[in-house]
Amino acid sequence: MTCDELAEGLTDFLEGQLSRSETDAALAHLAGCPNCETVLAQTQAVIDAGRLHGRVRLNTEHRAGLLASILDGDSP
Amino acid sequence: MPSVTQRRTDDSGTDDHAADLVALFEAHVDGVYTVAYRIVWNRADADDVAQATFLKAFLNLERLRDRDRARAWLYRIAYREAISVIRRRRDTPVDPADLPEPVDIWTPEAAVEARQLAMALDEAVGQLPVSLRAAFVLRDIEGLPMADVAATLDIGGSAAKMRVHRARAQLRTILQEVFDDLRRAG
Repeated sequence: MTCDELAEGLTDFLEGQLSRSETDAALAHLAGCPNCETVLAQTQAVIDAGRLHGRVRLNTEHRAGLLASILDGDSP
Repeated sequence: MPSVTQRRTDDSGTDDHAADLVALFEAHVDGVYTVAYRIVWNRADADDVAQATFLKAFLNLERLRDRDRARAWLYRIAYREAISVIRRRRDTPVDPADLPEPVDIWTPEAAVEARQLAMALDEAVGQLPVSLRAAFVLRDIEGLPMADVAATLDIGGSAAKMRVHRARAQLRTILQEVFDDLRRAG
């Protein structure tokens, strides 16, 4: 597998959608390619950042105000 | 104007729909608000999108046959509402001072590094084109299966995967400096 092929298949790799042989080829490439290893690590960091920090959590006051507006049927 | 619960009661003759709405709201409000805010990128519009989403959902609750699908169903409504807001915004100039308005999601004890990364992510997601922003929010923030991302965006599975791929790649580039800082600090 080449760097370009790995870059193209990176999402499938991360989503576990590559075949067993494709996964083995990707892992073999990563073991010998520091650049692709960095790209993979940083892409995973982006995903982790999204999952850990991306969600907006409303405070109690905001939640209550929003619910009250909905129950009152206020049209935005 | 009758309240949404009154309208539902008039339609159905029952009065248990307020409890349905509250339960739906409590279970999904943070996710719906996240989809709204991350796409429209300001709090006032996100409030409107979230409000319109739950109003529409409640008035059409009978269309939701499988309650396990409520999250994907609500996100689809929220996405469409958010896109409508963005289209309207194109016709109505917005004061730049109003954008973006950050949502206070921080706890005082949040680790400095986590806070730095999260703030950088806020900025970075806002720099993506809307189509990629939506794909990233649905897949990587909200964790929808790729098939549901495709259904929400009303595109095919390959196109959805490509948008997620491009979003991640662009975010990696935008966040490069932050990653480097964290690595040096680390």
